[in-house]
Amino acid sequence: MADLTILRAVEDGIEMVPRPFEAAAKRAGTDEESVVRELKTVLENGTIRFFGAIVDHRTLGKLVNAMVAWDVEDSAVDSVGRSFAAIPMVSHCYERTRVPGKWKYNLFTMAHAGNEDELEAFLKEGRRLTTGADCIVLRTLKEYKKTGVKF
Amino acid sequence: MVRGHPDYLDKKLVAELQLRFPLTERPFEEVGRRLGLSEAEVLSRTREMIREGIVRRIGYMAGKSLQKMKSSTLVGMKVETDRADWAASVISNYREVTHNYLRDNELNLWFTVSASDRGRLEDVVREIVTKVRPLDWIELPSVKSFKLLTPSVGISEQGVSSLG
Repeated sequence: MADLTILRAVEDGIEMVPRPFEAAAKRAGTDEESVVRELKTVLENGTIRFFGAIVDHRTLGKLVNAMVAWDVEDSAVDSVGRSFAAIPMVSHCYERTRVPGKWKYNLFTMAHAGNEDELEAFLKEGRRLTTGADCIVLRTLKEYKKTGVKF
Repeated sequence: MVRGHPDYLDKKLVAELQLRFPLTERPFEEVGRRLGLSEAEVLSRTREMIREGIVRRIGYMAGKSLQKMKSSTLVGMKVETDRADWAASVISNYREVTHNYLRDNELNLWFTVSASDRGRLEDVVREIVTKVRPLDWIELPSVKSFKLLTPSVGISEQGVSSLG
């Protein structure tokens, strides 16, 4: 596993200065050249899958954001999960454990729609993919925090 | 200069910063060269888009091997409406909490926790429960991931063209 010192130095994003990797290098106790080389290496070997501007869906005109959870039969989760993953409006799709008696929904889709009609169209498509599974729509009312995972 | 909305150049700039960010000593100078902008102008436009929340940050998204180093879970909590903002600030204070939202459900606070091991994850959740004293709560660890946010989602040409 890669030494994470350099990744930690850029985990909150690089600074908006002409030489951002020099600034990161100071935090990591190394030099600019090593930071640039390391970032190229970890991008090539898949330790990180992306480096660049991380853009907010919501600010890009997606006004209706919802977590939609579906009660999908365990035997169908793999195929339904893959189908949901192919929908552009879905940013994340996870299978999660159920909590008996409290929470029956096991497949989670994060949907980002431009308006209520688009969300409704997504729900209709979801009902088709799940052959009518129960679902629960939890709209985002307020975003308190959204960051990358810290390593 | 104060600008109300991202303009055409901003859209092109976002696309460059997202899809072709150069890992070089002076990345903003390089991006500026491609767009016919000075390094200073690229920096000021990018700063402004970060301030406006269009760009979250310029950084990385973890690959699978890094993600495997982490245990993560989703927690839903029922908290009195008039305590929700306070509770959310307590929750967001943990660096292990990566996402935290108010949602339109009886379980109104939903947050994800990511930690280096299952033990630390459980400690964080237990601490939060002790501090926040929710009326009810559930924890839903992930079993399998079918899709993670990818740079092409919402960052596609379509997404970029919906800017402004």
